[in-house]
Amino acid sequence: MLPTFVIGLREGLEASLIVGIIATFLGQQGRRDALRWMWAGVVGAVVLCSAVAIVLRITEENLPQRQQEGLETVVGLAAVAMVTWMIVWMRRHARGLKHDLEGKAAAALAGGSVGTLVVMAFLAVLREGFETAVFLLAAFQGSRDPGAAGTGATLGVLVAIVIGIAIYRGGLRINLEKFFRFTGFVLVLVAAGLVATAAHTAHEAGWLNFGQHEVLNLTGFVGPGSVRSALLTGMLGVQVRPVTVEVLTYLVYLIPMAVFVLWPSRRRPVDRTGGSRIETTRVPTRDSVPTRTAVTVSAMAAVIAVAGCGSSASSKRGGAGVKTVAIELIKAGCSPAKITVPAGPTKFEVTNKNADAITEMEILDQDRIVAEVKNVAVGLSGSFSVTLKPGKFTLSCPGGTTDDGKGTLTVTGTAVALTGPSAAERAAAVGRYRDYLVAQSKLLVAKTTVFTSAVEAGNLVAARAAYAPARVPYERIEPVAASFGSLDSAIDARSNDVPVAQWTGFHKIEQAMYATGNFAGMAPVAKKLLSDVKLLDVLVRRVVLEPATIANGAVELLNEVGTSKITGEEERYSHIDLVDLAGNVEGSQAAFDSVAALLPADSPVTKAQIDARFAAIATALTPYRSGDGYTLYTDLAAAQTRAISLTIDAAAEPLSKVAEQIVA
Amino acid sequence: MVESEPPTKPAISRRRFVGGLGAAGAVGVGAALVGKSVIWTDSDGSDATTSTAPAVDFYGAHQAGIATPAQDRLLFGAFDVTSASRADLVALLKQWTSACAHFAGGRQIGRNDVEAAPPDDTGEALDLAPARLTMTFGFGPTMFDDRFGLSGKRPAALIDLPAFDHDNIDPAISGGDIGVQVCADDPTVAFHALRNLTRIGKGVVGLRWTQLGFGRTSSTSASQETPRNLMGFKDGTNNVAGDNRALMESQVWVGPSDQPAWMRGGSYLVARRIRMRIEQWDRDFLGDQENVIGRIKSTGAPLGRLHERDLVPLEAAHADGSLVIPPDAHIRLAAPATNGGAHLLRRGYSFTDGVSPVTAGLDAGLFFLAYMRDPRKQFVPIQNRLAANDALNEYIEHGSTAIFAVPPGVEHGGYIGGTLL
Repeated sequence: MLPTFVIGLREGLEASLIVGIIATFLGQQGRRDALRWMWAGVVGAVVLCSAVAIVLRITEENLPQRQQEGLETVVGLAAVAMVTWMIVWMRRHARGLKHDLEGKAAAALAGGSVGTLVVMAFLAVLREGFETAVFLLAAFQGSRDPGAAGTGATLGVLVAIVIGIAIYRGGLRINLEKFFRFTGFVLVLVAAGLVATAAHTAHEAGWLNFGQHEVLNLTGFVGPGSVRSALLTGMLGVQVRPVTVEVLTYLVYLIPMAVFVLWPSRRRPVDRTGGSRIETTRVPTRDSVPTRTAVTVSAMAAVIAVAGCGSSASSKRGGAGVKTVAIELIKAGCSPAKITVPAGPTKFEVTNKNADAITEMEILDQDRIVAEVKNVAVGLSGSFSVTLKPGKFTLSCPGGTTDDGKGTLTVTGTAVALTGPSAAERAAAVGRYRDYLVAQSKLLVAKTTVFTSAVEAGNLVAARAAYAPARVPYERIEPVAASFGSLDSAIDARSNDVPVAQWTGFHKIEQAMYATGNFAGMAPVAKKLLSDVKLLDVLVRRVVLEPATIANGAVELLNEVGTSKITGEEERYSHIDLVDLAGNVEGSQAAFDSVAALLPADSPVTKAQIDARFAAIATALTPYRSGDGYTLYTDLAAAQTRAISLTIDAAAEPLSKVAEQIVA
Repeated sequence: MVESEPPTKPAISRRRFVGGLGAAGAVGVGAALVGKSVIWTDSDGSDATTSTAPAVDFYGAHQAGIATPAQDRLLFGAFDVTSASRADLVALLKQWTSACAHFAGGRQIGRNDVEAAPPDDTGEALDLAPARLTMTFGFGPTMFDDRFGLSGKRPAALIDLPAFDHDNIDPAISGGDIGVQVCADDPTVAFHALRNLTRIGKGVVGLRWTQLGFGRTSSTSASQETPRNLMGFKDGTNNVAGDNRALMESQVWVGPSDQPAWMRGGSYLVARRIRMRIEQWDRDFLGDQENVIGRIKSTGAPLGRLHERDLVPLEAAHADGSLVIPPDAHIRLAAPATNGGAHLLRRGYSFTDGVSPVTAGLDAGLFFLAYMRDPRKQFVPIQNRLAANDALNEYIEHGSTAIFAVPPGVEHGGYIGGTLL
């Protein structure tokens, strides 16, 4: 009964988690109408699985003894293969499961198809259900009491559904990683038993005729009908008088799998970057060499991360109520691992004492990163500030030896009240920018579609013509895109930003169009680019924004100009850097325009001043307009880029003082 | 629980700015590019350093950095004005004045404790002494075009320097609308000042060129030992001393009856980047080196004399009738006595800017800075003679040129260039 219970619980929980995530996602996207269809998919999958199980069972019963043993062997081995794959997959993805699915779900919605989501739910349940069916069938074969086994399985599935609903409603938090590790171990034992049983039935089917010497006789230890016997044979599938091949296959399966499941997890790099995992990062650490992505991510994403946690993007040192919390990274993880602080602006100062396996600290809300500091290697320190809302959060120092470096952060008290412009004014400012963001994102999808279609069609002339128009909307909203970590890199990395094998996106195609001549091979890159851009289009609608975030994004865009556009590095093959530059500037101005109304009357930086500085940039760019676009970067002399650069700096300086004035 | 103690000070929600309409008088900003002019007053100065190390007052009848005993380090910056608005320019000069007064006193500018904002001060000079920091401003000839309505105010003495023999001028490191000579005994202090002036000026001025000087080559005070230049010779033994009041009045400061009136109490500055052909010089035999300069290398004494400060014996001749100090020796051609009494207050610095990619030689030499009352009567005739005849020409090359009208000092309540703008 226990093995079937575990199987039902585990498979059921996986399925209900996936269904729960899809349901949540549909709810967030305002597509509650599609829930019905999702449930239809779930029911369909359950029915189909049950049918398969019944057919298998009936088939088996109607076979002669020898063929029956053969089918049992096949079903048993299929079950072993499935459970093994499942254990490995869950072990790798337990912590990223939700992100992975949300990414897929977002991509599905971006494709405009709720049907895809329903199919996703159907397939997820079908997969789990099919696994359950085969696995249960194998377990039934090994069980003396089919009634108890059936009860166990049913109970397991029911408990799983209850847990799934509880998680969905947000009332229950379990450590999924621990849960899957424990149940994984039990399943390894069961599966090892199935391997041995399969060796046994294979012999009886006449397929396996060597190694049939009895190596152990456990009858003295487990008398027939004893509790021990029931445990060993019924639950774990161990034969009472095993032969050599049974013992060998049992051990060969059990030992490596048990080690794999129980070995303390240390995050593999692939976990950090793989899939469509959404990461927000903050990089205030000294000594870290800021890659382009890190830099672009830092300013805007930091505020996004923080904003996700509380109401205010930043805190004022020396102002009222700013707490400083010192965290040390030690080998075990975060120290202290349990922290209680009152709500409000809080600065975390993180120092790495001696933890060579840890380089970062995160605050997680469930499994969402709300704030973090990275690249804190041994001997370094870094910090980040968040405005904490009351609640329970997870401290995480990934790589720590105790509980994978996990701890708890309890925030007490009540949320800090806002001052300054009214909430409505602030919301209106954010709304203005959100409208812009969404419009540009839509434009990006449209223009990228034109571009990637040309690339896929192998039409070089059309692709070149469509390239610049697709770049512009991206450059306008780049810092927001950059807040989704690896997505920015996937869309916009230059050749030296990422390892060659991982290089994708606009610039890879740019190189093929203008430099290497490998244009013919770009169709898959184009396909991925379009899907990444569509994913971005979904994500930007959900990004948490606030006025200071937007103001800092405006600065970030001008900094982008200064670091990569005015130097001709961004479009090193097509040389359309001025097109990107103009996009950055337009995006910056739009961001500033959205929040300018929040500047207080006594602000030392004024809208008139910054508007004039933006106008000066436009004037400086005017001589280089050429048709719809701009002169190639390579046609500009140093004195000309210098003149443009001076106007960019001139706008960026006062702009950098805006966030301070409008932060809540 | 590792929470730190809650701050006891009340929240400072906004920077406390004192608007630009302070003591300096109303500024017609209007629709100009600059918003509110920001003046850092001492009431902001909670971050004043505690240092009591020597500080040179930024305010005074003459600008500091001319008569001031030469500091050890230089950073010279030349700006072009990028804004077309005179109001912007005036607002900037006021901001600069306020910032300079802070820097000279060893204080930071603005607010630097607001976490949501970039600090006003870039911070690298915090904890450093004032280091006798001076910032000396001048206006180049290009300021007097029609952009700011100053074309009628250009001093006749602020000539466009002529091309001299052997000049090899790079326009990219020459000229400029505004020149700032930043001197201090600590190079970081000097850098900090110019960097922050540049930052404050974004949108109104842009840096055109800079020159770092790592060691002074002149003394402008009787109390200072005469330093040596990169040729290994004592340079500027007979320089104008800042405390020689009579000579300063007659040779350096624009006099009370000189025109234009706005320059009275000011001076004119000529800046020339003079690269030394160091490798060739180092291969020249000592006797020739001494003949080229006209001094004994070890003691600094004029040829034919024993001590550095002995009178230069321009008339002395050997038994064969040849002059002890050769006719083309540098000190003869540059001596006031051979130039109708014309002096220059020299304030030059040794520089090195890496390696010439063409010759693999050191790019090093003397960044020549000289203050004078009238370049037409002082620098131009002297340099004409030197360029035509100086034996030193074999070993040097002038690579940049700039001239600035240095207005009088800033009185409390006034601002840089207030007599002009």
